[in-house]
Amino acid sequence: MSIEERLTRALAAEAETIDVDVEELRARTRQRLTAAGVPAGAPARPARGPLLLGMAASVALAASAVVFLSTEGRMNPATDSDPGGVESAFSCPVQRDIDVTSGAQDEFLPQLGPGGPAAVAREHGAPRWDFVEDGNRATLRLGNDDGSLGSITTYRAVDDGWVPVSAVACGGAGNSPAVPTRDELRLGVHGYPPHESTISAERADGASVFVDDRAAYDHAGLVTSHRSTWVAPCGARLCWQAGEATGYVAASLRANVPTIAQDVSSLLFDPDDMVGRHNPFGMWAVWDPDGTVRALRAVLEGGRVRESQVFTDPSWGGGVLHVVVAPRAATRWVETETTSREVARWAPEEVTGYEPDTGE
Amino acid sequence: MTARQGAPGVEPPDFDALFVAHARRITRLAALLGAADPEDLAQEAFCRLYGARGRLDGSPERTVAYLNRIVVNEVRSRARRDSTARRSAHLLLVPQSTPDAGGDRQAVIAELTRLPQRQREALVLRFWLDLSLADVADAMGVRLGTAKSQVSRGLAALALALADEEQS
Repeated sequence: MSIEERLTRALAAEAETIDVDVEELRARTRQRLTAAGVPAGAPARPARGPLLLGMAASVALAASAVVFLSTEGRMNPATDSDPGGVESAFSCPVQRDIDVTSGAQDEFLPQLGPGGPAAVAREHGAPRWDFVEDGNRATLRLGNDDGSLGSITTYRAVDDGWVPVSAVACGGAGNSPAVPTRDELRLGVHGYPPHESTISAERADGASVFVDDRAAYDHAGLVTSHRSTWVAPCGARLCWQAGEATGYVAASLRANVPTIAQDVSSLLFDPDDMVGRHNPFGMWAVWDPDGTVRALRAVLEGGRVRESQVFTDPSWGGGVLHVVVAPRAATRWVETETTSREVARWAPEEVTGYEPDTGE
Repeated sequence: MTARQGAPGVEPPDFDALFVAHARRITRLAALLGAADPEDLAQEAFCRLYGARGRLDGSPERTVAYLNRIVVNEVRSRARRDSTARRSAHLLLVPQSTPDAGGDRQAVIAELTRLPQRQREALVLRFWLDLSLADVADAMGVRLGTAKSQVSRGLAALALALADEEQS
């Protein structure tokens, strides 16, 4: 018997062992829809050219909640009670109001054009969306792949379509782009397989070493990308690259001042995501090519200490990178300690940033 | 917006009929794909289908294809949310049948659950739902070539694993 035949028979037999009470399942599904805000037994609202009309009527659920299309190319009125593929409530740490009326920002402009809400979703990379009309108002919810809500935009009807009135989008704690993750002060993998290193072999004088990968809320409140950080020695410097395969930010640390920490916090998030927002983390680093540095620490309020993580590779010729991440607001100072026990301290605001990589 | 209207002449599917016709299959699909709670996932899938009714084109075939895709995506999403490996949880409930037939089924299913999730999806969709490779690709949200490769690799890995088991 071929493997295909064995598999087909096994799957068929296995499926038959899974007993399903369809009536019970239907009752539970109905309860779930009702719990999601779909009022049972609501009067049907007439609509022209409805999709799945029988679907709504026969389940006796929420005809008033159905989002129908009319032949005029606009959706007919409906109440905002659609259970939809996008959750109706935010689950992110904070929600921020976005000015969509004054033209003061252009990062998130969910303008409804001829392509409708699908085009807005595509433009912002939203895997899921729901659009609900209610008289002269409408609501567009953009969501992530898992159905979590990223943003809500409300519109009012005008003669030739809809204009945005207000928008609320997800953000991280403290209006940051930081997506909550377990052990967020630890460098390493935070939920996504890292992108490959973008440091070219021509530039590197040793293997690329992975430092960190984390996702961020974009300006539409969605979690659509994550960025990986890699390091490798390059000439007299240590090269950093952070981003995705299609775009990254490069930086470098000087090696001639190994006991001076440098601020590389901005590599944690995409620069675009940081516009007008707050980075809750400080990330400081020391590139020690010759074994001079014994420790790098962030000393926090109350005397708590966060020690650095160390990155190296046999191909680095003994060079070591120390990196520490700490909540910036709680960090009192950053200190290095040499092998001869000399300690140098800086207030976070005194630590200079990384140098833009000029390719020199 | 007009692209979201139903195709002319296509009867709008009846949700109730759709539910009765597909609830058992969808629940079993969720189980075979490794859902820890297939019935809960099936409920969620129908709720999402209900929520998405406004953007379906009205064709019953597309509606069923969309439902399949919801299940595949939801199994993946739940697996991501819950890193605890529960892919074979439902198998614990499988009753014993005749020793020979049941033995081979259990061996095949046990090895199936050990495959990478994408290969498992491809094999279940192809050999249980009997979908074409194009429809497998659609349900998995991948390109045709990727679906072909997942089916091919999955079959090869399954055959190898079963051969190893039979030799041991």
